[in-house]
Parts: sequence; structure tokens; C-alpha cells
Amino acid sequence: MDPIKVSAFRFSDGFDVKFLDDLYAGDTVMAAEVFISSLDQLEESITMADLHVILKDTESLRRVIHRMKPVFGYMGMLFVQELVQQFEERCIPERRMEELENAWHYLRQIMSDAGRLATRESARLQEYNRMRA
Amino acid sequence: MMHTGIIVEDLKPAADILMRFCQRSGVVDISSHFLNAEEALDYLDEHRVDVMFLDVEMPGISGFELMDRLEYPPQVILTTSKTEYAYDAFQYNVTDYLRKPFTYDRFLESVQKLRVTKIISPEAPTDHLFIKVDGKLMRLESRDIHYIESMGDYVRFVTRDRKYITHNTIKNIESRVEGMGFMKVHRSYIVNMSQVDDLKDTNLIVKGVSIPVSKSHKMRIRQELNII
Repeated sequence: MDPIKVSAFRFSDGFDVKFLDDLYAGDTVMAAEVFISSLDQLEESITMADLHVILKDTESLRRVIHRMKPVFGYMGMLFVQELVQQFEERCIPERRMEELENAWHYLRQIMSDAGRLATRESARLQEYNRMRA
Repeated sequence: MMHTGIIVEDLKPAADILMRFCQRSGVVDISSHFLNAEEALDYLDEHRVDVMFLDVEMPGISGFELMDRLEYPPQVILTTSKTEYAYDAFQYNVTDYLRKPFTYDRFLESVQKLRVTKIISPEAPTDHLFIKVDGKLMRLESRDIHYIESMGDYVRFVTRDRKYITHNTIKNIESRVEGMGFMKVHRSYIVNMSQVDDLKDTNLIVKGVSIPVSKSHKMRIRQELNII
């Protein structure tokens, strides 16, 4: 069993710091890797979601939203994950895309802002790991 | 105790974290990670693992469909971000249900629920038993015993050379000689099947001695003797 690593790295305010500390337990290398793959996933998912909105395909939109949802959690943004969850619940087959579009654009803006914040944190993590190496 | 396992998860960050948690815990050794259920299905056709960390919603068949298709599913820990699957998870009798993202402590709590599954190698059959005769223990080789006969509160062991009477019941003896090549053929007789010479109507011939056979045991005796 690996010992829990002690790290001097402190996640920035605005992130769910306690959750991130519990999740990564001082393993900043793992945290950096997960931030990178989460950001990749986020970018890909937003592009796919935009496409499904254009195609008015509610079920495919729901699937993409469902899949991307936990990446916010992995980046310590549980409040964004909760908003994504609420949007996913609105994506039911009976609902026309016109009814979802405004909510999607609102959520998309929040996700893009969250993505920018996470990109900065990811860079901090990578820099910290470089300094330690 | 180290469990063997696989991860079935289409979201890379989720799989990465799970992989690290498994490594850190020293409890689960992950042999493979699959991005969809079809690939996992192929793998599980040829490999046995103790545990499968399984996402529910994936491209292609779902995690629940995967469980439906497995004849001998391993223990399953569901990993999903949707709480609505909790009821289905209960129906499938999964070991645990982890809501993504989950912490290391929550992961540990989950893997501690895994049952220890080990292959029990068949024990070598016992080839003898001890009986008490006139206050002394006596070793009887099972191959030397022809049959055992009930005499109320006593039983008689008939061997190649001698007969031994001991205080016991046929019911108790039956359980003690199980797996040693003996068979109860009548409420009062247990026979060493390797010593049977013949089956005549309702009697077994054991080294020249006729032993009655119950009607209810006859079919099993014929199977045991490999009568075709």
C-alpha cells in the first residue's frame, strides 16, 4: 500500500479544496494528470454538445452531458457538477430543443469559465510538479 | 488479500483515478481497463477476475446489459454519476455503488466489502478410518472394508479378513465415509462400491455376500456401477 503523500501544494480558493485534498491526498502528479485529461474531455464534450444542440438531438445531448458531468468534480468544482446534473435532468426526450437552448447557452458559459479557471489550476499543478522534480 | 479486477469506464479521468486508488490501496490488482462493455465482455469470456468496476452509461451496451450477458459475473462495484441507478444496482445485487467523483476513503470502504473468493482445491480423499473396538483404536484401510452393517446401536465392519463391531450408528458412519467410495444401499447397509461383484435383482453381491438394496437406491447404484 502506498503511503499517503504530504504535499505543500494548496489548491486555489474557488475550488472545493477539502474535496480535492481528500481526492488526491497530496498526490499532485495524479492531480495534474487528471486535470489535463478532464480539460481534454471537457473541450471535446462541449464541442459534441454544441453539435447535438444544432441537430436538435436531445438524447445525444443528454448522453454527452451525463458523461462530462463528473469531470467538474475531479477538478474540485462540485457546484458546476450540480448545475450540469440539473441540466441533464431537463434533457428528456419529450422536451423540444428550443426549450433547452437558452439553458444550454447559460450552462455553456459557466462551463467555459470553469474550464478557464481549471486550466490555470492545472498549470499551477504542473509548475509545482516541475519544481519538485 | 489482493483481489484481481478490471475497470470498465469510458471516461479517462475516472479510469485514471480508479487505477491510482487501486494501486494505492494494495487491495485490488487491475489487469485491464476497457472503454466499453463489449470489450470487457470478450475479455471476461476468457479470464476470471474477482471484481469489476463498472460504469453504467457507456457507448454501446450499458453496464447493466453487460451484467445480464455474463454467465458468471464477478463481484461488481458500480461507478456512476447518476443516483437514479441506485435501485437497479440493488436489484443486481452489486457489491457497492460509488457515485463519481468519490474520494479515496469512500473507495476503501467499498473494496473492503469485497468477498474473498478463492479456489478451494479438492482435498485428497481419506483412505482410512479409525474405529474403537474393545476400548482400543483400530485403523481400517478403506480398500479392505467390504461393507458396513447396522446392528441397532452398533455397526459391524466387514473386511477382507475379519469383522469388527463398534458402538456407533449407520447414519453417523455414512457421513464419515462420504467421498471414500462407499454408498448407502439400504437403511442398514453401506457398501464399498469398489468391492461389488454383481447386482442381482434387489441384491448386491459383495465378495460373495448378498446385500439387500432399497428400491429408492437402485437407480443411483446402477449409475455408480456404470451399468449401461
